[in-house]
Amino acid sequence: MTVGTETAERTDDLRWSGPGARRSRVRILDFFRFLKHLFVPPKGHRVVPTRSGVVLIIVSLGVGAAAYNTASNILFITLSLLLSCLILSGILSWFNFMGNRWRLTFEPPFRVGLDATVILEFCNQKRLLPTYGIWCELSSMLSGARERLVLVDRLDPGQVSSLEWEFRPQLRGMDLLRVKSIGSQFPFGFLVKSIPGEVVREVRIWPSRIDYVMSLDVPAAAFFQGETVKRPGWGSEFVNLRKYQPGDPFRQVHWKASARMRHLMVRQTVADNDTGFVLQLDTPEARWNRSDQFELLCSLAASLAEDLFRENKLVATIINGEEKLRAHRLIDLERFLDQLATLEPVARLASGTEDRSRNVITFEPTSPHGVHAIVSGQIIATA
Amino acid sequence: MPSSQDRSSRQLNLEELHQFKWVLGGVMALLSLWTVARLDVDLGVIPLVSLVIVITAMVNSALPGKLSPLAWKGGVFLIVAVFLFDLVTGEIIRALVRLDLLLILYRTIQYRRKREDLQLIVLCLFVTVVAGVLTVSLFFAIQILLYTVCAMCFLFVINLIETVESGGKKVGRRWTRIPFRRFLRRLIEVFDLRLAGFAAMLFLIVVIISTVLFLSIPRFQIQNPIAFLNIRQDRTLTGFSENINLGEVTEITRDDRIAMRVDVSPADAIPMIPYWRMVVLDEYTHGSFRISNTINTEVGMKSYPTREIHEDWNLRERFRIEGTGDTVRWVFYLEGGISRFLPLIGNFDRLVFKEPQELVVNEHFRILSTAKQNPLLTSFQVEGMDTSGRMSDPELADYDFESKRPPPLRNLGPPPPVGRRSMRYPYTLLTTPGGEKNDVILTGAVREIVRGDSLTAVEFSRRAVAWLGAHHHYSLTVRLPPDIHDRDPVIRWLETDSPGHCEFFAAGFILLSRKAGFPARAVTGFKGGSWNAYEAYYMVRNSDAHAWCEVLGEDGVWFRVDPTPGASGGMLGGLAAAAPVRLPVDTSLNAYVDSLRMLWYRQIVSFDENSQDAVVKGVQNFGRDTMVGAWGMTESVVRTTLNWIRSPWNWRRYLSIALAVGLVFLFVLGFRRLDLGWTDFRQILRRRIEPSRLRAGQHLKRLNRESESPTDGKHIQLIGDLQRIRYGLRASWPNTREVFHRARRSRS
Repeated sequence: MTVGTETAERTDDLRWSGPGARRSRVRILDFFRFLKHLFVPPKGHRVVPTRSGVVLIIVSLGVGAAAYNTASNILFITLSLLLSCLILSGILSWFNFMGNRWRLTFEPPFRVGLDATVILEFCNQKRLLPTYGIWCELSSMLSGARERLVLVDRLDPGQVSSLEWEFRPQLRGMDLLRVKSIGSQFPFGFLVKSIPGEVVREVRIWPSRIDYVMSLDVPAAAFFQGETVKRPGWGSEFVNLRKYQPGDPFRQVHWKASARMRHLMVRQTVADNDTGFVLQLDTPEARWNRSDQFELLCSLAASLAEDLFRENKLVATIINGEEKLRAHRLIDLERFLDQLATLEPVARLASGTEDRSRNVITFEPTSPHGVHAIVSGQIIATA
Repeated sequence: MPSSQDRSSRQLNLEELHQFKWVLGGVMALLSLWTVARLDVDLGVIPLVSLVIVITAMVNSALPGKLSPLAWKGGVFLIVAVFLFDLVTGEIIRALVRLDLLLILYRTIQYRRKREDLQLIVLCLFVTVVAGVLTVSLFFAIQILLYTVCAMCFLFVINLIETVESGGKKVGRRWTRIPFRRFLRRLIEVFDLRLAGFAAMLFLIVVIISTVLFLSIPRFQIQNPIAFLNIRQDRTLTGFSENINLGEVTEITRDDRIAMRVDVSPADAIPMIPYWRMVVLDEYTHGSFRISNTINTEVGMKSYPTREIHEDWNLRERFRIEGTGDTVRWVFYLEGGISRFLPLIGNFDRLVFKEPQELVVNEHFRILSTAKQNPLLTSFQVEGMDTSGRMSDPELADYDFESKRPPPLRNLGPPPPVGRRSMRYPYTLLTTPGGEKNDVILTGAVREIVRGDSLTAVEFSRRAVAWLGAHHHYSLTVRLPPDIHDRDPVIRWLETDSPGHCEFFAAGFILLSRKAGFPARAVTGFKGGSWNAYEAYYMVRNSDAHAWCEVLGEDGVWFRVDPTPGASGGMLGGLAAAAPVRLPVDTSLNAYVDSLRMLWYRQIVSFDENSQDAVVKGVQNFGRDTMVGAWGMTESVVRTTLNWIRSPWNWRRYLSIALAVGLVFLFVLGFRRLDLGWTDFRQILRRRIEPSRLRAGQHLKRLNRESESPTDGKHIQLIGDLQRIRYGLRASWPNTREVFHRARRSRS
């Protein structure tokens, strides 16, 4: 997944949803739409009487029966007031939803076994009226988690409120986070009105981080140095000039070049004497036919990749014979982890580049449930 | 952006919401107590005790928490015991209302959950509605509206509490420690005029919707309704019953409350001094009049379980509005608890009730009564009522005035033996008190009146009235000297010059007439009344209660005689010369208040299918008239325009059109250059601000609302340009049209 695609996707996902997001430029159209929705509710909108609503209906029926029995206008007045309260309840309930919009935001990554925070931003776009008593039902398709977030305080016109949902993903993969519905019993608790949430966001759940056993002895340690590669860093050998990025040290700024280019430019150098490994992941079905072992493989690969990257020892990654992807930057690691999130056993390996270098780490299943990480025939880690 | 702390200070927190709910529950209970205050049911000390306890609990919410659980359990047993006791000893309505009040009290002072809150609302609704149905009072309109407001606020607060608590917050009983004063101060702090205005508008919408529903709910009669809220009330005003002792009618006159309201159009259909006949009594026995058993039990009683009764009792003339031929319609609103007997002036063509009634018709005396005493308002319509004060009686048309013997009535069997005649109708019409002493006094008085002349019934009546007026004057208090012989009190009164009230005058006249051989009977009811100028109806009070007489004339027609001094207009009903109508008009504050009540009765209480039809017709007519008017106006405008176009054109006309078009074009062009709309124009006129700055300010406000910190470069530039237009010098402005165009496109 390229950065450009992410950016575009992220922009779309951050769109607001809800009645307040669909306002037209001509206000009168909003009003006519509101009137239409009063009589012809849109699809997915539900209005269900609560217990007190049922009691109200029963009381109204009783009063109505008594009114017709006695022909007493006092009872007809009472019946009219009860029915008008019910009608007003419906109108106010719809008013409460009008002008509201919401969206889901979250900060990836999400990992199996780690708490993830999803934020629902709820905004009251109305000019005059506050919003009361809204709840939002969120769900995660993959993990099956559900939560009802309640807007406890009144939301005044123009205000935005953030509701947090913490859940723990249980499965690796592509999850769909949904705002299933937005509901309220406002104003009197006679009717529960709910409307579709209209928000679905995809999120990748990375495999969990696991503890593994490094099995190194002295003869093998020599092979575990990897191969020397050149990678960008803050060493002494000058390689390139590039544009300044936030976080670059100021002492690397090339002032003359910056004056010429009219942009801040920094010197790019090579990190010294760095050694690294290539992570090669092959997942044929024949070898990886147990799902728990496969999950363990993904977790081990992810943990190993992170640890190697932290020590600047991760050079590249190859998955199922596909293109070898450099792993110089954090974003490369994240890309690898994204791939791991959706990795499945394959029927046939692709005939891509197979790196036979000494620094290639491969993975093999062990009985009964374990996974080995192997370099040049030597087991370097076991989970 | 207001901080969360600012935001929370403008809203009630959970504890304060609980306190608010507590106070609202107390207010609803107090409202329920108010509704039963006007109920004519003996509730004992429960309302007063409840009032004290509710107010105390409202102000000090921690008090109920100090009661032990045993006290609460004991309260339940007490309520059940009281209800069972009421059920066994009293009537069901009283038992139900007392039970409801006790339950309201119990729930009000209890720390309630949602279920108990809803129970409180239903209990208060029940008692309010029952009180309204039983009293049919104007106050019900105010009470039910106040109840609606309280109940809506109550439910709203319950809903808010439930929402907050579902978010995980709980408060326990901490809220009871909030001092009442501090809570009131907080209420004032969080009061938002805008929200209050919106709430008031919503309430108005509720009232409008309920009015529309009330007018449009179809009305129809159920054939066999289930008896509901049937209160039997055995007590009645004794002056209007079948058995009246001297002084009972006068007792009624001490009460100034309205007894009856009469709608009649036109107003001059009412005679100058109307006599509203209710009870006619033929038998007299030692100071009391009653309807004889013959009438009550043997013959002449007919019961009609129907809404409508047509009676054409030999109506001599039908009173009509001049030129229209319509029959005058009288609508009576008789307050509950007055009498079973219906007040009518005379014979009528048609009488219609709102609800089915069981009617008892006394054809001999031409009086109607309901089978049971109605404690509620009774409403009925009468058409073609004879106001002459005369009533023909074909059964007694053959009365032999010479021999003073009434003819036997065909349906009353053969005449009884002489000694027993005095107890049987129509002989009761001639019966006087027995005993020699009584007879001597009566005979002497009659001789004094007649003076040896042969008089007709009318002539005798005039002389007798004059004789009574000469010997007695009017007083509400009658003191007769003690009598050891136990003579008839009326005879004793006739013998003396003591003052007397209307009953003594009527009784005295009747005895004199009977002694003279003219059949006479007593009538009680109301006399007179006043005209309410506010709503144009006739008001009759209990203080207008009166007793008078009816005497049978030679033509077989009963005519009215009012022997009470000061009754010049009604002394001889129908025989006096027609007087111009001069109704006493009441424009006092009480009359105004009563007119509101009448409005309530007319428009609300009496609203039925006919009224609905009238409303529908009124709306149709209004719509039709509006359409016709609009169409006429449109036609007129079109015709004028066409005439103007068809008329000869000259250079002035061309020039004025060109100028008008040019001005409009310049106007529109100017606005388009400034990128303004009609609303901006209005705001320019109001605020006197440059239109472009105004527009830029609006866009800035919208952009600030949509995103707190824009990250897009284009967005930043747009905001910068808008700020320059809004705040900067004109010379520094970019192209406003282009900027506003970008601002419009940036709408999300």
